Amino acid sequence: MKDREYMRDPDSSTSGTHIHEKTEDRADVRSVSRNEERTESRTEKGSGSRNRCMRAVLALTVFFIFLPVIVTMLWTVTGRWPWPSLLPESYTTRTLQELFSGSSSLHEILRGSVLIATIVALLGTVIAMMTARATEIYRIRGRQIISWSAMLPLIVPGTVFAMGIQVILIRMGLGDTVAGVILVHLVAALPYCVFIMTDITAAVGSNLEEQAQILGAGPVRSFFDVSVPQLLPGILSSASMAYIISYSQYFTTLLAGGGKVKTLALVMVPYIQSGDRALSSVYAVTFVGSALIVFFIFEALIHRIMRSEES
Amino acid sequence: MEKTAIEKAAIEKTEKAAITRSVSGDSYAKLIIDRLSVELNRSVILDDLTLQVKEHEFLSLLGPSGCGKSTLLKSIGGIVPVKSGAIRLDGELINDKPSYRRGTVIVFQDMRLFPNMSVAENVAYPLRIKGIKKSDRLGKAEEYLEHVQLSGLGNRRISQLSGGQQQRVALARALAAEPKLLLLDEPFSSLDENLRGDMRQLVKKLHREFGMTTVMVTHDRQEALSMADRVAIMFSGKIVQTGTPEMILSSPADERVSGYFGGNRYVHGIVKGGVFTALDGSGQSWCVSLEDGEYDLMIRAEVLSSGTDS
Repeated sequence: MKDREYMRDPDSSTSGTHIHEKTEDRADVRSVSRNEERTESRTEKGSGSRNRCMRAVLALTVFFIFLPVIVTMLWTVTGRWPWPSLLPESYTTRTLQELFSGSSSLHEILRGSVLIATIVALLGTVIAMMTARATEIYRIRGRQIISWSAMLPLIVPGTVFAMGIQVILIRMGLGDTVAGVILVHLVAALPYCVFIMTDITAAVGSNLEEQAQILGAGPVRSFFDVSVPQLLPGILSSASMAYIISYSQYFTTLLAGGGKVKTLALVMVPYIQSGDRALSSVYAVTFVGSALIVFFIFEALIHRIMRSEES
Repeated sequence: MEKTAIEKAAIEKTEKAAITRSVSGDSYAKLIIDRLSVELNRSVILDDLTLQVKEHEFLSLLGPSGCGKSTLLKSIGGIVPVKSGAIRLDGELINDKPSYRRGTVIVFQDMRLFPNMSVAENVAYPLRIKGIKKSDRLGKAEEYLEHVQLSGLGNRRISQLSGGQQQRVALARALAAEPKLLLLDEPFSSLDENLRGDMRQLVKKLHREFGMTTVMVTHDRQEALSMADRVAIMFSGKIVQTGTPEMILSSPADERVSGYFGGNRYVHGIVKGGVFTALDGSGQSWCVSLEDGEYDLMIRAEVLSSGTDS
């Protein structure tokens, strides 16, 4: 019995220890889980505060972008806004009347500006696409010189370039014409278009086009079926860039168009220079708004092309 | 280890080749390449190369990296211009024919699937070029997808497929083009070993089903020997030997070919009075029926075994 008791004792003591250990274990587990909870809540707190911080930065950024836009929009209908008033003292529709029925017809100017900028966007992108293909895909001789010279208009100051090219345009019989203005805008926009298209053409490469041709597609078909969908983001960027460059040209338009070709920038700049804030603002809002509308149309068109490609 | 695998492959191949040949029956030279030379960036890639591929045949182009195998495939496919020589397909000289009129299709190692199209549209693309109606061509594409065991995946985007599945789509698309000659440019090298085995079986199955004359470039000896009816061995822009896998293994044309398969040993010596005596100092000799002179004796890897002198 003694033996048994002796035998049992250590057993029971061991089991007792085990139970004890287990309870300790459980306690440990609890403490660990509590620790984890704490860590989790700390991480949540950490990520929460980081999120709040990010949100604050985002809100500030949006605020600083939209504040001038809101102020400009307010100015469009402001009669008097003396310092230090937070809001205008009086409102007017004078500016809108001037915009819609003033000396220069807004409708006509907008149509001219959009037409010129759209043609420049189209031509610029097509020329840039061809240049990029020549230098990146066909790897023609002297391609580095071509790539470099495509950037030349950036080096020459705009005023110098405009005065020089005006002489050439007059000699060519293109002085004071829309075609002449388009040509000059094109030269200003091309470096950016070529830069954008070269990058994306190099990234897309010619492997897929080669594959399409191996499967029986002709060169033109393989380009439109396979390469163009890949190039679309670049085409959109290049067209938008060319559009906005053409849309905002003032000095070159003035010289090449001789004042006969009227664009929104041409009409807007004198108002800005005159210091009539209300009129400047109404033109500025029209300028930005119309450019944005055209960008949305560009994007919608591209998406429609992509969808019809897929179907 | 590799040697055993190659031997096994050769035995498997003999059986498979018999099946393929019974399908193809009597065949004529589908592709004739005559004294072809190709230069790229002023360096000679293919040098006076001659090769024939028979109708319905499966030929493997085997050789080390940089020997010009892929360039040969691309010049057959019309992507790489030819400097001199002739490439004839079905008797017609196709040297100056653009790739889209040749009727040859290449399946590249990097698959080159069109990311702007779905899986089914990719497979149906050759049919779209031929002007087949959308519903018809998508129906056909589904059939081809069934052949490569991908039925039901037609509506997926290419990016949603695994590497092996993409390779199957590339194969299905090539088959949909119904080429006169199917060219495979190391089609399995981007896949892992297990997938590679499956794909080899699939390609052989498709070759049996469609009977398409196929040239496959590879640097994998086992792959070449187990899949092909004939193997062409290439070194430095030239074909050095063409023959059945058994022939290549049993009678390599020269030391390079034998060395490429590994394991074989050469003993330099002289033959005098019908006896070859090694000049390596071992003093070993063999009876041969050769004229007197200096020779290299090849000892095949499979007859060599490790052991102690008895």
